[in-house]
Amino acid sequence: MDKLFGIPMTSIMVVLVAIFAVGLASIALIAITNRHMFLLGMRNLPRRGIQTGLVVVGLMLATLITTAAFVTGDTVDYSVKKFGYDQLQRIDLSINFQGEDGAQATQSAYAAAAAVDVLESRFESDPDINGFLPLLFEPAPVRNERTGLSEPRVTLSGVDPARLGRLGGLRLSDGRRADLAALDDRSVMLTKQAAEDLDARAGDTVSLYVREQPTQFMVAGIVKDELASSGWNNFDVSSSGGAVVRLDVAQRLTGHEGRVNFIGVALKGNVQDSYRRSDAAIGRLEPFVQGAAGRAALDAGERSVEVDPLKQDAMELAETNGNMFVTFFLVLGLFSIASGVLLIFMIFVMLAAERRSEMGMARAVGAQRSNLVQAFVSEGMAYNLAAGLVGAAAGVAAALGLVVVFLKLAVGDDFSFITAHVTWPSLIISYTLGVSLTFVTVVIASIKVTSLNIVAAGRALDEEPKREARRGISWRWVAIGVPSMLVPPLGVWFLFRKGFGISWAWILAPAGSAIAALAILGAKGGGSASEFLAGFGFSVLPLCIAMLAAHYRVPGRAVWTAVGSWLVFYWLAPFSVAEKILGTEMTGDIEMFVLSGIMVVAGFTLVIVFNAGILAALFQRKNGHRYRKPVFIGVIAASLAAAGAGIGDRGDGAGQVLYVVAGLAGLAAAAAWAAVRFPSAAPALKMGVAYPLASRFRTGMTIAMFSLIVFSIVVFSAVNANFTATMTGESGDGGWDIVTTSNRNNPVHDVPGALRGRNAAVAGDIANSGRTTTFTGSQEVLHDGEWATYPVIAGDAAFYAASNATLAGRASGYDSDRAVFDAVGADATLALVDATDWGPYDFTWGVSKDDAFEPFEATFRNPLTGVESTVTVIGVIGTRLNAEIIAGLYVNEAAYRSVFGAPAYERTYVQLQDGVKVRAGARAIESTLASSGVQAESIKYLISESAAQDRVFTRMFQGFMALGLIVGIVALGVIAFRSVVERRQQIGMLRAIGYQTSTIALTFVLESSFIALMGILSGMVGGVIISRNLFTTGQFAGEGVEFMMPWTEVLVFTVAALVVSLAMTWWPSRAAAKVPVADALRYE
Amino acid sequence: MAIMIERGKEGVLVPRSEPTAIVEATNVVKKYASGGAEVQALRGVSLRVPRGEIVGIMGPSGCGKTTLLNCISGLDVIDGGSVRIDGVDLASLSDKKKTSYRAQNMGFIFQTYNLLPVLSAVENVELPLVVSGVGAGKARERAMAALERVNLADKAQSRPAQLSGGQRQRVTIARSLVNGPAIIWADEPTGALDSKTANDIVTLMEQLNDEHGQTFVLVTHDAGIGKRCHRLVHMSDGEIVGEERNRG
Repeated sequence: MDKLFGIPMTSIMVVLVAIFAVGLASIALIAITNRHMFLLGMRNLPRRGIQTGLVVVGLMLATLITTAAFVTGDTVDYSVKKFGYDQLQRIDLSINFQGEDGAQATQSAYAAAAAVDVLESRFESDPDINGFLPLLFEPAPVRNERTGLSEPRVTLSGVDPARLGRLGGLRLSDGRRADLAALDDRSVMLTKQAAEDLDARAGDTVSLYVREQPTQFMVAGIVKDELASSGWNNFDVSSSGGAVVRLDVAQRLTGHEGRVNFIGVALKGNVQDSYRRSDAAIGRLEPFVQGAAGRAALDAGERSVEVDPLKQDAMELAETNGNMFVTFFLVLGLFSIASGVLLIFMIFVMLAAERRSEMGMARAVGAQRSNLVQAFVSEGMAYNLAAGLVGAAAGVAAALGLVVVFLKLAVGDDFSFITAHVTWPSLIISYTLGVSLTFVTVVIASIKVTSLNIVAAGRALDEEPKREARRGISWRWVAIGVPSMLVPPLGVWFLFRKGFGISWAWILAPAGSAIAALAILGAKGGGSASEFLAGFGFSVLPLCIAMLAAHYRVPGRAVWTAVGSWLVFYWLAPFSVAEKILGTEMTGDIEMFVLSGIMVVAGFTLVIVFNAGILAALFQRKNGHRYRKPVFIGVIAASLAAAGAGIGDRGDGAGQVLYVVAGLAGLAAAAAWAAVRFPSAAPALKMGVAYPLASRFRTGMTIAMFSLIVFSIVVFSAVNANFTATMTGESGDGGWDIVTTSNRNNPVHDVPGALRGRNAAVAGDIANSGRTTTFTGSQEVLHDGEWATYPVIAGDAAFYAASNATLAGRASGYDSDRAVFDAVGADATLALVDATDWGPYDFTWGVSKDDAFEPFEATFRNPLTGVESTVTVIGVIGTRLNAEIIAGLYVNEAAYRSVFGAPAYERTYVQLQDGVKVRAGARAIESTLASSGVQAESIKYLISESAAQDRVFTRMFQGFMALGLIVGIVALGVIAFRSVVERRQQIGMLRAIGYQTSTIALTFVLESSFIALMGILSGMVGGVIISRNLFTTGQFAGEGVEFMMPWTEVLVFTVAALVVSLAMTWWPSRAAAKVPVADALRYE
Repeated sequence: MAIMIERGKEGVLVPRSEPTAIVEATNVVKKYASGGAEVQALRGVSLRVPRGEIVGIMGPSGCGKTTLLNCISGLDVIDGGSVRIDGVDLASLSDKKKTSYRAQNMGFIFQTYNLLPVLSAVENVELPLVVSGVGAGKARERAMAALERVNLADKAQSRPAQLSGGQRQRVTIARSLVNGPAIIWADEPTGALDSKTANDIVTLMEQLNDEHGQTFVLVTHDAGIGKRCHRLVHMSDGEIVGEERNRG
């Protein structure tokens, strides 16, 4: 990759290496100028081996995540580029005389083959152009006579052996050069893909069917799949490879004597860098081919001609894809990186707490606070450097595991082109980025933790919290602060805090409130980001007010609970709170996912850490009626679950939300029951809640880490499951069972008729069928005032009359889907559009797929003739086939004929009789019409294949986000270790007064469970409700989805996360419990 | 075995009529490994503590006072000799049974209080009861009664951080006696307190001893407190080197 976020990678690397160098230089300076403090830090490293290991693991996570993102980008970038080189070989440019958009056209335009002579003569001494390659590509069915296997559509490639030979020729599948001279009138070279499909080898006889006539050829060799051999598959491995014959043979077979439909241009240089000459070559070539002489030579008629930089586009696609992965992973990884930063902070708080008395002593004998910071920073940097290396290695492993192994295992052939690749710049950037981020966090954490009361620290007493006092004005800091405002956080710190001595609460709260107010005002005006601005403003404002209230010692529980509740309400309400308040319609995009995640988690965390103490009441054993409490809560849980089951997937997903609440109540009932049933565990349960709540900041951070990650994974799971259900559900197939496509060399315009003509049994299985045209390449639709390439599809009368398809949406004024079909079939001024949200064309319709919409007009034209027509769109086709097949403006035959002439029906939609197996039916159609090359496939199968690929990507992203769970799990480990060390004497006391070892261990495990469970549950609840809102009232509300939750999937990973977390804390807990009582009591 | 003697009529030394012994420690040996060398912390110590006695253990730092307390209370394992509490040989019990025995029959007071900071005073006092399976209502009742006895009922809902050192130690004492133990072990119970508060604490112990006959074994550095014990045992280098009876 060359750029990230539009910034050259080299620049990013230089900046990061500079920051890294500053960090290292700082440590070197400390080592030279203050050796004692440097050693004080360094000698702490080996003191507690396991803890050091845990710190390294904790600190490596930021590097791991950034490295994984970059290596993924490298791998995708490299793989796509390599694929491009392999496929294009020496062809850098193509002279495109197909019209506006040849890429998606199923009809081909032809040029005079003799044009190549003119071009060679004209550009003989061109400094960049090496040669021209005329090719004729035609689809054709083929059959291996030895094995009896056939393929309905391989690409027959007619090549000029002399010209191709001069440009490097073809490569045999074993890597050697193919002998193109061996190609005679009766020989063919099959590409590797075609040979595999036909189980063919050199010497076999194959029959090529062109214009319904079989012609037999001997296989002269097996060559690699590439553009010239027309194994060009453009990442579509379902294509069946190519069959190479001499150009004159191909021209004769297909009736295109003297014509070609592809002219490739090879530039000077090798395969990997010749494309860099593209712009220069196009600069000279394009004016010529667009000029009179060029057009005449090409015999291009009225079609537009241009020169496409094929290889350069492929390289840019690789760059774009690589960038997309890095960007997407970095954005997704932000949650994990944020959690990692919290963890680093927490680790240093832990280290400081452990050494509080040492630090008190050091301060007492004269060490400045800055000296302690130096010691901590030195220690932190040592951890950091090691952790960076471990993180980079783990990041490479994680990326390769996710992208290469997972994709290849999960999807197989479709990702066989993926090749692991790592570049030094990426490794350096991710290492220095991770280390720099950690270094900055360590410095901030060190400054924070070295603020202590010397006497309290020395005597290991609790420090009294005191309000941050206003200091006097320091003009020196004011002078330093003003220029420092160039880096605002530093400037604010120097100028306002150190210079004017204003407390942080009074700095941050007014500033935050002002920004929030501006955001709300901005949102009031509406616009594309209004929902984000409103959400930001309405969330930050109460936080700022609470910050000031806390500064003035207003009871924290009341204030923060109110803020937390507000955040939860604002973000989880089934309606837009901002719209209600501001009275303006709000719009937002994917950024809302990030903001909502952070705010929901913040809200839940505040409510939990300030109120979870009431959970301790669950563990109070009353004398008599011992089981009343668990039974009462259990009944509530069961009632909620029953209500959820009753509602099911209906009621806009309310049933799913009830399940969540029932689950929470069930857990509470189980905890209350455990306290009664196992009385000796009651104190452990109580302390399991009490201890975490005694350190709200630490507990809150850990809960937030878990919650953020679980939230994002739950939302991804829900989105994935709901879209999959929609795509593969009953309405996804649009009411049709099979789609067939014939090719232009063997057109079959009446599939049922052709089947009947061949006495195929499957003909009797067909209940209904309807035909449509396919994209011709020269079709445009008026979009936002400009003509945009888009398919215009004609459906025959049967297509509209016989369809019992369900529409995804219909215009108001029509009572039923049937009424819409009938109207379009009969009225040339009406039309349907497809429902796809993205595709290879210039736009998508973006029509509501749920409620009735107002009919709207669409204008289309034939760009070759300029004839245009306007129709009214009254329905949205429900079929969820991918855009290459289904995209289009669907009109009736009359409307089509008036603009494009007589339609060539190449696609047939088939409904089978009830009970007929669809895939078997498709196979029967394909085998019966094999000699015509008709392809037939089950629509459900095509959709599920497409959905499966989407799912794999979602899984990959989920896997990446799950890396963040490691952060939470390590955090729990850190907390457990710290708790054990901190509370060793208390453990001794508890053992002395009668606590069994198992109860002690249980106490620690319950503490971790409480934190993990609260994080997981809050993330799950937030994720479920946000997902439900997304599909019922939010962004995907128009998709017509009945919201459902993939509970098995969600429960499996949450339980797994909980189990792993507990395993992480079980060991230190057991170790704590087994410490001899007397030793524990002696511990200081 | 240490033989208790007293001066009889006409100054003749005769065996004392012995009350029931609650602690019978005989030739207790405890060794530690320190820096590769073996250190004998207790060198065959024998101690007999009659029921209802307040016994003080004094000696210089490192002489083995706390180690002796830990060993005879069953908190630490011994390397030789035997310890019987109320006739029960602690060494023969499994860890689980020994722990249960402590919960039901012993109380502990520590110099650093060792109260759980996340629990209120009354919740701290309840701990030995809840671990013994006493119901919540009953446990709260008995804990409040114990706090009444140490004059801290009004601070029942306070967290340890909200209490003074003396108050914290009184909570510890309440916790140690809430399960009605026969014996209370105290390791430097006044070590972290000023002299007036320390005096109050010892007075409280004396009251409890007088009123309920509870046995106290306490380790102290404070000669003044030592003098208020019924009997004072002096230790040096892991051995008992003498003892004196003050009253009772």
